[in-house]
Amino acid sequence: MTTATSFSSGVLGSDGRAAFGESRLRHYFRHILRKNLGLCVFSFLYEFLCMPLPYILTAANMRAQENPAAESFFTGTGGLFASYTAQFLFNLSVIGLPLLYCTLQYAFLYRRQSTDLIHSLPIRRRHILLLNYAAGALLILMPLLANFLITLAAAFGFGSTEFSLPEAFLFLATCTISALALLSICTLVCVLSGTLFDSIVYSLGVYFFLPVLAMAAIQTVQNMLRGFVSPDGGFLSLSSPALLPSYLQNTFPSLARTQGLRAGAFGLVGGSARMDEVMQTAVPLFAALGIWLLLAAGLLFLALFCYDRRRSELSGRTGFNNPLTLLLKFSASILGGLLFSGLFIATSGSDAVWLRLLGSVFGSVLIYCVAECILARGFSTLRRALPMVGAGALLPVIFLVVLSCGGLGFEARLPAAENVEKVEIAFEDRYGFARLDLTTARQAQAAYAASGGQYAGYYGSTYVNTVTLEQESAKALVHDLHDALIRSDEHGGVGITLEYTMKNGSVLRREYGNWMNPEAMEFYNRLNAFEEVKRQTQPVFSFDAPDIESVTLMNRLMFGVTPAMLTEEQTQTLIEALRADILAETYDQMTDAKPLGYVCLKPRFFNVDGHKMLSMPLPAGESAFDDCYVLITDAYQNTLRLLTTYGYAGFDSIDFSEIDHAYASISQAQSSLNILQLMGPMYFSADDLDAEASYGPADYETLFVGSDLEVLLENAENSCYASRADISTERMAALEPSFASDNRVTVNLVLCPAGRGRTVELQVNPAFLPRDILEQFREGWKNDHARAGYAAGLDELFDALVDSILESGVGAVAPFPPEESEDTQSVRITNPS
Amino acid sequence: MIKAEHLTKHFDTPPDTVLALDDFSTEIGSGSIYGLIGPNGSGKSTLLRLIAGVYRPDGGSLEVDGQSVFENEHIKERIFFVSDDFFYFPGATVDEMAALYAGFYPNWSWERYAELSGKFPLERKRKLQTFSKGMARQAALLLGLSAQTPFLLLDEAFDGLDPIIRTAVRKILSDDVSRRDATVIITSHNLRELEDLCDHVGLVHRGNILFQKELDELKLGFCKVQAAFRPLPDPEEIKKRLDVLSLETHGSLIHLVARGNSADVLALLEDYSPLFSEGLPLTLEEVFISEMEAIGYDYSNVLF
Repeated sequence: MTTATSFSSGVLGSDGRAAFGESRLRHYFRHILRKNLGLCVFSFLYEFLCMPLPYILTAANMRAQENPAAESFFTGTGGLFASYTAQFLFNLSVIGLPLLYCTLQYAFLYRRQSTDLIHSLPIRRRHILLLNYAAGALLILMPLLANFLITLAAAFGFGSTEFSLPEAFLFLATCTISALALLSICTLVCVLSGTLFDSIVYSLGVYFFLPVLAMAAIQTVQNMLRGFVSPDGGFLSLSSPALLPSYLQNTFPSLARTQGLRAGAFGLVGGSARMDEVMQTAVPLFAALGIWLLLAAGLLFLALFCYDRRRSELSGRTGFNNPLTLLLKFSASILGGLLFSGLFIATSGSDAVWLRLLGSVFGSVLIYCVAECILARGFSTLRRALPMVGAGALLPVIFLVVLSCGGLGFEARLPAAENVEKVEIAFEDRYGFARLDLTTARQAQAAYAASGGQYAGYYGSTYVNTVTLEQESAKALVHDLHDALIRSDEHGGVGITLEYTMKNGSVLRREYGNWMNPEAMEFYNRLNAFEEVKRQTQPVFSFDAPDIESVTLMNRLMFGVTPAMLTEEQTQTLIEALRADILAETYDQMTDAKPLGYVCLKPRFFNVDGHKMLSMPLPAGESAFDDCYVLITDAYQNTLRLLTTYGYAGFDSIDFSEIDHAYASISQAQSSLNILQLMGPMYFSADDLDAEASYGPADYETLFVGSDLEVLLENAENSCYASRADISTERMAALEPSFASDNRVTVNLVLCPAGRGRTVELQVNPAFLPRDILEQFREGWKNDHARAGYAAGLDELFDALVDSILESGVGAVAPFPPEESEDTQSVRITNPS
Repeated sequence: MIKAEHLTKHFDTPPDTVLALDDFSTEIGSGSIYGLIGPNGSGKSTLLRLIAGVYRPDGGSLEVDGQSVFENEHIKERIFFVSDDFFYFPGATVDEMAALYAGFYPNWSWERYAELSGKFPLERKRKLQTFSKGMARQAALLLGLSAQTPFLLLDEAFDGLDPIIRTAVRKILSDDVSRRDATVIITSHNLRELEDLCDHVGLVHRGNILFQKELDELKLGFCKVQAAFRPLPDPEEIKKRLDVLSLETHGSLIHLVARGNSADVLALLEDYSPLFSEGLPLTLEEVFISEMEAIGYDYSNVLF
C-alpha cells in the first residue's frame, strides 16, 4: 500500500504539480497522445516494414550485384517502394489507421460510464473533438513522415539517380490528405454512432459506398444502354479518400518499379524528364486532393456541429435513425437492387425487362431488411421501416425503367451530319494495324543520349487507334454507320467507338461494344478506302527510313523469306511507293485485287509494354511482334515496279516442295459478325519448326502427306487468298451456307517444311476444300474424335456443313478466273457444278 | 446553490420514450449534504448527470450558482461527478487518473490527495482494472474528494463499501462540508445509509420530487411510541384523539407513529392505564413512509 508520506515525496508530486499549472487543453492533448502512444509506435513499425526496410534491403542487394561490364548498374527505384505488395500494405495502414484511432479514441461515446467521465470534465465538447482530431492527425502522420524521410535518406544514400522526387512528394501529399479526410469521416461517423460496431460499419460504408454504388450503376448502364461510354474506372477511385493511394499506385506504377533497380540495362528515362510527366498525369489527382482537403475541413466542422448537439444518452444505443444511417441503408438497397437485377438476368439467360425489375425489387428489399435488422439488432423496427423499404426498392426500379426505355432518348440520339465538326472513330484497318506514334520513343532516346546514357532501344511508344474524320463524305458514312447501329437489334462481337465534336464545341461519345450488324459492317469496311483512314491507320505513314531496321519480302503464304538489302534512301523510296499505292487503292481493289506477298518493315524500336501492332502473331524468335506487314496486291504497281528495279521481282513465288507434311483440324470460329469483312488473312500465323512438337495428334490428328498433301496445299493456298478476297456478304453466303449463322466452322492447317524453318498455320474456309479432301478429312475427324468423345456438337456441325457444301455443289470454287491466273501453281480448283 | 425549474428530460428508446424527469423543480443550498432518495428508475442519476453537465436538459432550466451547466466549463470545474459505475481508462492506476483530473480541476489538491490516500487502503500504482468493486469505489471517492470542488455529486456512493470505510467516508464528507462549505449530493435507494449523514433529503419518484426537507425538521414533527395495555383500548378512539399516522397492534401491544412530540403522546396514553409505555427512535424510513402516506401516496408503490 502506498502511503501519504511516500506519495508526497514521490514522482507524482512533481508531475502532478507541473500538470496542475498547465492549461486544461494542453493537458488533455497530452493525455490523448500518451494514451495512444502504442498506436503510434505500432504504425511506425508497420510502415517501416512496408517502406524503408524493403527499400534498403533491395537496394543493398542490387548494389552488390552491380556489373559495369554488363551495363547493369544500380540507379535506384523510381519511387519509395520495392514492390507493389509493399505499397499495397502501406496503403492499408493509411486507410486503416484513422479508423482504428477513431474507434479507440471515441470509444468513450459508446459506454455510459466513459461518457459520464469525459462529458463531466470541465472542457467544451468542441475542444474535445478538435484535440482528438489534432492528436489523431499527429499520431498518424508522424510515423508516415518519419518513414518517408528514412526512405528518402536511404535512396540518396545509395545514390539512386532514378529516384523520382516529384512522385515521392506526391505520394506523401496524397497519403496525408487521404488520412486527414478519412480521419474527418471517421470522426463524423463516430459522433453520429451509438456503438462501436455501428461506428466501424458506418465508417467502412462511408469509405466505399460512393465508388461502389457508382461502379454498379455504371455497369448497369453499360449493360442496358446501347452506346453508353463507360467512364474511366480509375477516376472512381478519386471519389473516396480511402482509394486515393491506390489511384496513385495505378497512375504512377513507377512508385514501386522494381525493374528500375537495374535501370541502367534498360535505358530508362532520367528523373529530370519526369517532372512534367508527373505534373501532367497528376492533374485529376491534384483536383481530387484539393477537393478532399476542403471536404476534410467541412466534415470536421460538421462533426463539431453534430457533437455539440449529440445526446450523451445515445451511448450504447444502436439503430437510431439519422441521416447517415438512412444514407447507408438506401445505398445498400440500391446496390442490392442493381446487383440482383444483373444476377437474375445472368442466371436466367433472358434479357426481359420485367425480370430485371423483379430482381431489382427482390434485391433492394432483401438488402434493406438485412441492413435494418443488423443495425437495429433485431426485427423490432422492421415493420416501421416498411415505407423506407419501399422507397429503397423504388429508386433502382425507376433507374432501370429509364434505362430500359432508352435512357430518356440517349440511345436514339443521332447528331445531324451538318452539325458535326469532326468525328473520331476507334478503328482497326483490314490488317488490324494500330498506328504507332514514335514521338515519345524519340524524345526518350534523345533525353537519355543527352544524359550520357547508352541507347538500349527499349522505349515506350504510343498507339493511336483512333482516326479523325473531317471529310464530308466520311462523316456521312459514319452517320449511316451510326444509324445502322441504332436501328438494328442484330448484334455481334465487334466493338466500335464514335466521338463527335459538334460545331458548337460539344462532344458526343458513343461506344457500341457488341452491336455490330452486317449493314453497319459494310459502312465500316468502306471507311478503309478513305485517305484520312489510310493515313491514320497504316504504320507505313508513321515510319520513315531512319526508323526502319530491316526490310523483308515474303510470298503470300509467308514462305520464301527474302531479306531486302536496301540503303536508307532506297528504303525511303520504298516507303513512298507503298504510301502512294495505299492511297491509290480503291475499295474494289481492296476486295478483288490479287494478293502477291508481303513487305515487312521492321522498326528500330519495339514496344516497352510488349503490345503487338498486328493482329497476326509472328515468329517470336525474330522479335517481330511489332513489325509492319503490308500486303502487296497486283494493284500496288509503284511498289512492284520499285522491287523489280531493286532486283526482287520473284519474291512472290511459292515453292510447295518446301512443305513436307501438314496437319489439319477443325474448330468453331466466332460469330460471323465478329469478323470484319475486310480484314486480312485471319488467324494466319507462322512459327518455328520446333513448335511443331505442340501440333501432335492431340490437336491435329489428320495428317496429309504425298499426293493428298499436294492437292491440299494448292487449295489451301487458294483458300488463304479466298478468305480475304471473297469478302462480300452475298458471295460468302453463297459459298458457305453457315456464314449467316453464328456457328461457323473452319479448317485449320499447319503446314510443316521438310527441314528446319517456320511452320505456317492457316485457317481455311471449308468451302474451298475439294470434295475428296473434305470427305477424307470428315471421316478422319469423326473417327479420331468419336473415340475421344470430343466436340460432339462441333462434329455434327461440321458434318452438316460438309453435306451442305457437297449437295449444293458450290464447294471448291475458283475465286480467280483461270485465264487471269498466270501462276500455274496457285490455282487448281474446279467447280464441280 | 443549485436551482432546477420545471426540468424535463426524456430518453428516446424506440419505439418508446421514457420520461426520466418531468417538470422537476428544486433548490439545493450551498454547504449542505443533500440526500436524494428514491426507488430505482425514479430519476436520481439523471438529475445528477444533468447537474454534472453530462446531459442537456430537454426543457426547463438548471442553474448552478446562477449559470447554466451544460457546456459551461467554468461551472463544470466546480462540480465533480462520481457516477454509480465510475470509469477508469484501461490500464490506468489511481495516480494516473489523479494526474488526469489534476489538470482539469483548479482546486485539485495533491496534499489532500496524499492525506486521503492514507485513509483509503489503496495501492495507487496498481492498475484499477484489478481492483474490487469496493476498492474502485474508494478510488473514485478519493479522486472526487481531492478535486475539492464546491459541488460533489455522489451517485450510489456507498455501494460496495465496507462498514469501516463507510464510516470514514461519512466523516470525511462532514469535514469537507464544514471546512470548505462544500455541497454534497448523494443519491441512494437505501434510506438508512443517508440517515446519519444528510442534513437535507429529497424524495424523487417517477421523475418528480415528492418533497424535500431538512432532516431535523422532518424528525422533530413525528414521534414513535409503544405501549402495552390490559385490556386493549379501542384503537379507533386513540386515533381520534391523536394525529396518528400509523397504528399497529400486536396482542396487547400498540405501536403508533403520530405527529407531535413523544411527551404529549405518552401523557395522552396514560388515560388508558398502560402496563408500560415508552418513546422509540424514529428511522428515516418510517418518517418517509409516514410523510408519504400523509400526502396521499401509497408507500407500498414506492419500493425502497
